[in-house]
Amino acid sequence: MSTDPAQALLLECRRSTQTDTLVPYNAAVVTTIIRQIHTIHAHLVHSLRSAAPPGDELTPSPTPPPAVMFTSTHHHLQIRRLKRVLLVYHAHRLNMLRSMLHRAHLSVTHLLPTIRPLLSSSELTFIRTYAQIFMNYRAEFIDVLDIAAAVDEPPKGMWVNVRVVKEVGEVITEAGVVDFRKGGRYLVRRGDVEMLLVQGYLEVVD
Amino acid sequence: MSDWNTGTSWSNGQSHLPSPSPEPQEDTFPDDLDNDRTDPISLLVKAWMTERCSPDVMSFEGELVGKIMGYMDAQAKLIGVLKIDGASEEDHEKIGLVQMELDRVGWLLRSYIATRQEKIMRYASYINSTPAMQTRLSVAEQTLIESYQQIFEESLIRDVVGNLPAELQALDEILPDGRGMVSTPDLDKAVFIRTKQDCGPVLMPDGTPLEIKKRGIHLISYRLVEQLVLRGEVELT
Repeated sequence: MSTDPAQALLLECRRSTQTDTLVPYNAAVVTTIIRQIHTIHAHLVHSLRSAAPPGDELTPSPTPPPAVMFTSTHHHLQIRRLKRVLLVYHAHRLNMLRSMLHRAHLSVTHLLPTIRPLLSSSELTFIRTYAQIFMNYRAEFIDVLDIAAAVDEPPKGMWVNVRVVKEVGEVITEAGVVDFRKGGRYLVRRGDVEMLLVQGYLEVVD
Repeated sequence: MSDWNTGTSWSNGQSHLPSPSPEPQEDTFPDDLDNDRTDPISLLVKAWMTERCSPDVMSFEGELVGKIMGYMDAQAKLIGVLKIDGASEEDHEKIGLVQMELDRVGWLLRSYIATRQEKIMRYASYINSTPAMQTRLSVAEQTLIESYQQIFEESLIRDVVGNLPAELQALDEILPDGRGMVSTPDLDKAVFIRTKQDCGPVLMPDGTPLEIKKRGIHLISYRLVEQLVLRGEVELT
């Protein structure tokens, strides 16, 4: 078991990708790593200062002794790695949030209740603003085409067999009123029930 | 009544999508290469394939997308009118078929837009700092990724780099070994190409020329054939 906090974050990213789930924001580890970076950075600055000849900042400094070179390179690489890990972790989460929002048909109100406890405050701001930005982009096409609809599978036919997972009640479709009772199976037009499928009221049966 | 399957309407059986009427079976691969189809749907299919296969962001087919959106709008309105008029059983069947075609074309267009959107967001920071790339985007796409990059970086600054020592706050550093923090499209990625005409030799990285003949199929690094793709002499598949 690794005790390296950076490794732990990377592992979290990997697990989250493999299982396609968002895991809670790991504020504790992130803070630890930021502290580590500060400590190492302080060491680095200190060792460089002590190696520089005192007093004459103007003359170009000669190459520091190998010991200092070695330590500072080592520190520098460590900092670079830690920073990169932090950025990877956060970028991974933001991308994941983005794809979750798209899967939820851009509806923040629908998505947020389930994932809110998992987010940091800036991630919350991000996803809200992102939904806004994307709505503006979507408005370009909305008269003719809803680009928020899923593109995972091309439409195979007009009709789709659905099973009702959660009680819906009566829904007015283009073909008339359908009464979706829990557990029932219906053959309906895909376009009519797209939203109910996304919200998890219905399920496609093959 | 049968406005939708006459003349130059977009669902006139020229479509690559399975059409209701049985199409002649001679539509095989070589013919497809020789007689270039130029109806909007075929062009959209082509643009969509190129976009999906290319590692780089291609130019936005604004005119084509506008045209197809126009057709879709007209068809949708027509269907609306016909439904209200109370069509016969047989007409309902026809309306259904047109609607299905409409769904499919809509899906194709959505997939095209989504593919681009995914790419431009991944490379947002690179595109925003490269004017040559920006010309390949539609105005709406440009606005989208500008704001996107802004909120993305804001979030990273608040959670990460804002808390680091001042010298470490850059988000666009280039490391001494040449790797940058900004991700750029990987032009060396291998792509499958199908050639539409003789293109002359292409110089491989080791100096040997590779003759690219008409109807050839190659698996090759995108960078080597980028110009041929942009000129339309080869197709990505």
